[in-house]
Amino acid sequence: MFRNTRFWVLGVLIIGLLSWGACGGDDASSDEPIRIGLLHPHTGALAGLGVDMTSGYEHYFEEEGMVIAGRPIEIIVEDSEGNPSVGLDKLKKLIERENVDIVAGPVSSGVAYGIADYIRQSEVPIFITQATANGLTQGDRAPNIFRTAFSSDQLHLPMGEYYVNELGYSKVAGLALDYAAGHEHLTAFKNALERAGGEMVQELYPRLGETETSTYITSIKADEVDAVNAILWGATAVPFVNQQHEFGLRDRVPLTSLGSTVEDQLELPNQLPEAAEGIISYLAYCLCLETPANNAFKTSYEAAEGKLPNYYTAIAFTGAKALGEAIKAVDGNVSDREAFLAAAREVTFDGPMGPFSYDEYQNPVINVYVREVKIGADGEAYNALVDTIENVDQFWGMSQAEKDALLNPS
Amino acid sequence: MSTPPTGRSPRPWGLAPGNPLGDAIASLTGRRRFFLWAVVGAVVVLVILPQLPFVDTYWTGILSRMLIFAIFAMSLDLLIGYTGLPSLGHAAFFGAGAYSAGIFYKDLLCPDRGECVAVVGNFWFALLLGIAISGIIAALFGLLVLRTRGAYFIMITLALAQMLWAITWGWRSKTNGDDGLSVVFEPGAALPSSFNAEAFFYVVLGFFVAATALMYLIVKSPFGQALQGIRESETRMLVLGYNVWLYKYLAFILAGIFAGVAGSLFVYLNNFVSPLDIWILPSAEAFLMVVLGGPGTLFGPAIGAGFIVFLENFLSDYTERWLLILGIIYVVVVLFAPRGIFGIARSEWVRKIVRDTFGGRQPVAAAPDRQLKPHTQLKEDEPGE
Amino acid sequence: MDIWFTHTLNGLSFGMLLFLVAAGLSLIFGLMRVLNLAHGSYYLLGAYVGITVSRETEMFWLGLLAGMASICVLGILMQKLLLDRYMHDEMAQILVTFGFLFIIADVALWIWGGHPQSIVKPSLFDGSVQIGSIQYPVYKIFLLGLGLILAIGMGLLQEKTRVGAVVRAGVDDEEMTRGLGINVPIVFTAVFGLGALLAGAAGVLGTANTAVGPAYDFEILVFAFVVVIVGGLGSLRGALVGAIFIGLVDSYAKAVIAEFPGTLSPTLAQVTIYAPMAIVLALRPNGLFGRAS
Repeated sequence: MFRNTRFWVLGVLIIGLLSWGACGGDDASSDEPIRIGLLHPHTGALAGLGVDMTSGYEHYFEEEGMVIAGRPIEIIVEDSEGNPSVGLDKLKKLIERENVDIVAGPVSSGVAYGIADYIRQSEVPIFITQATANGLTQGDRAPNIFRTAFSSDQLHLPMGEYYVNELGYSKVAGLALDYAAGHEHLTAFKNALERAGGEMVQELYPRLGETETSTYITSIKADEVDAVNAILWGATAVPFVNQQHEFGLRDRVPLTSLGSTVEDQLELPNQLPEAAEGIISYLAYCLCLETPANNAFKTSYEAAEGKLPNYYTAIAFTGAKALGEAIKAVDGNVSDREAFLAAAREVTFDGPMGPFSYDEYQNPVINVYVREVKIGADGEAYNALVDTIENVDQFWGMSQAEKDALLNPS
Repeated sequence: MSTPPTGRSPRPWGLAPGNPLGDAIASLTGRRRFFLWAVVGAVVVLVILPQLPFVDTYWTGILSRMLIFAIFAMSLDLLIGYTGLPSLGHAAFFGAGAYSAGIFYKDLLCPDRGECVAVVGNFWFALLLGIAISGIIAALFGLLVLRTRGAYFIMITLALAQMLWAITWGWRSKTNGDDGLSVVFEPGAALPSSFNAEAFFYVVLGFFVAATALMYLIVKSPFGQALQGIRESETRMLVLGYNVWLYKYLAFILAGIFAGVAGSLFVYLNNFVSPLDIWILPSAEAFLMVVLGGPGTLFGPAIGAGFIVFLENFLSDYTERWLLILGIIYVVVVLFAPRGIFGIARSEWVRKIVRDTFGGRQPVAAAPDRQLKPHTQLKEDEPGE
Repeated sequence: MDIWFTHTLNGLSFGMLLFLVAAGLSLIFGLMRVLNLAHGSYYLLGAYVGITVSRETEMFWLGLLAGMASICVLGILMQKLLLDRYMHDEMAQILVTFGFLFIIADVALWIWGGHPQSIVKPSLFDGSVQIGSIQYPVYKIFLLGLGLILAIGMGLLQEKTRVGAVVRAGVDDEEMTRGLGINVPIVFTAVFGLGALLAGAAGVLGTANTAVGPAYDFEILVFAFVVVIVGGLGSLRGALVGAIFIGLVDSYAKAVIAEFPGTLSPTLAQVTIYAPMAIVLALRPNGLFGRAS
């Protein structure tokens, strides 16, 4: 039995292949590099954001020479595909097989929720680079979950008062994408508007990825509102701005938006300048910021990558810096988790998006910038700074009762 | 019991002459003996695998995933390989199982974390409900899709799966939309927490063995033989007096139920399910698993599933171009291995190795080849149901 | 009522775009019995080629031409090198065309990145016209007209010319047509190329009005599937009626949901395009204009 050599050769080959594939890295000692697992979508519908964010994240560590506090930095990138199941698998791989010390990512809120339970049990520190789902730093918060971007609510909280008092728009029609993040964004704006005494007259939710926006533009009750707020991004934002121009929407009602509807380097280059000109928008970043930190970032990023950074690279760069500063604060000793988490909470610095610090729930306090689309001498559209609202945290303007309800959901 | 065959065939270990089991095994021909050894060997390997030093918890999790997708791929093989129904939306039933098991557990049995109606057995109850819902949805979809054939069948299965995807996305109050449904199963819900990868693996292995055995019995039964008859020629089966529609309908429901088993286990593995688990990609991957393994071989698709899951996770160390590689595999399989891995396994040189290794009385080539011909023509011109 | 007039125009112009994609899918199937799952990818790739060329040259029409030509060549290559071998092998067709769906999606992501992009409309069709009390984009009216002209043109080609007669003969009885000494393989290749070309053209024309990004290939494919299920595979008239019908249903459903917020999720409203499909299937399993069995 089993005397055939080919049988044995095949068996040995298969076992060899399996064990080669299954062998992972060994435990890291203090002389070894700090291993950072980066979980970003590089394929799938969110690939554009993910690739840019990885680029911004790596740019920070490259600027630091890939060494922080004397310890070399190793970044292991895994593609979450923007898919929670895949993201969970890849996270397990990063933690159980690659033995990463720290996880950064994800971009999608779905992936963030998909990995939340696992990350809580594993106790590995995670620095969420983008996923804005409110719960992650509220009802579902955990000591090892940090967010370096902002929550969905946060961008909109101060805008209620701003719309009613500064812009004079108290009746608004809103558009947001029909998925979890879109609903969170528009609901946050609606609540803020109502807190300030305004009224949300109409809510429209185009499908995520919808590119045929004419129906929604036609449906806007332009005669009954003071302004439209388009909280869109990506594949829906580009045609929306172009098509509303053709339909003459702005002849009937002013158009405002979340910054991501008309963002420099992203949507704006694909929109007709005359269609976007004059749109007031708000976001946690503006390429136009003339702060030393943003100017330095723009210069070094352009020198390294050959193109200007965008909103997502700026967010990722800020997140990487928040992590880097935390590693510096413990002098590279990230294996003492308690000390590392305590030091990470205290991180403050001036980044491209403005001053950075965490609130007590490990979500940053941000600046919200109000901008206006202008047309430059070269005929290209760009956003110019109009106003800055400083020190906005994730509960800005809320009552204690509202805050408690968010922090301790039943 | 017949006398043992010629001396080339050694008796199985420890079974003296006269022992009925030993005689039975010894009387098998080379091909069947190989099959028996392969099954026993595969189970033994699977039982031992998580204990090996180089298989860490990550790979144990991947092994669980392989087994779950093996059940899924085998259930699709009941349709593609045995009945000749090329479904491109099979993930619908996988997702239906996952979502219903999750929702039932979360909303019905454990409305608040830790305050379950009755902790022990809840998971099993949720699992059963998940499987039942998959079966019901398959029964509903079956009424529609079986009115069509060929290209229409492909399109309608894909479109119906998309519809279910849209429902999981849009029915936010129950499914939590695209944020996905997070289901934390309480430890003590009759099963070990899935955080214990190893224990969960053995649970999945149990399901895998049971599901495989059941499906094997189905395809070998007169019912399964009739399905294969339908695959070859519906007209002939109609003439022979079979209720072709009913057979196809039952096959569609059975396939949905087994996909539901896989889906329900999947939500327990991940504690999570999202609309993307119903989307086109899982359906397409399952389709590839079946064709890669060899449609109509049942075990082939299981191997195909293991291969695809392994490759996807293995390659992510080296490249992000998984979709590109997947696409190339599709084309390469068609060009070079249209009968799948099992098709290669049945080629002459592999058979010779099997004969040399396991002995046997007669050349295996004489055994009837029940391999699916990859020529399932579009039967547009045949009468409808 | 003006609003519903606008919704109707929106639905019609979207329907015309769907017609361009579905007509190719349907014709290819009718003649060759090949269900091309990569047909949506032709739209995507055509759009991307159009974007690059029209950006480099700043000429929209050159972009359109490049998009059409490149996709036509790709389609012919796919048909000649791969699909031709598997004329009657349904399983192989699914695998090859699905393989190309993935390959094209990933290569496009690789080359053009994941951010959505758009094409600048030709200045000829910039701006809008006043119809009664409403303002409507000229470009959408152009799309509507172009779709109608193409539909009529293709209908005439199929019904009145020798080429059309050969194609119809091929659809009805391939062997007999071959027996008459007609070079059927060339007809096959030509029709496949034409179908691909139409999808590529739809990609460029559609993107000029909207945007294109990852996953749009699949979105278009599902829409095209529903259109041909409703209209019937292999029928040009079916593709036209199905496309207009689905375009209108899609537009009205979105509008109704916008009128009654909070009742239905718009994504769930996608189900509204499946409902007519299910009804048609229940009544006529081969679609409205598909050939009866």
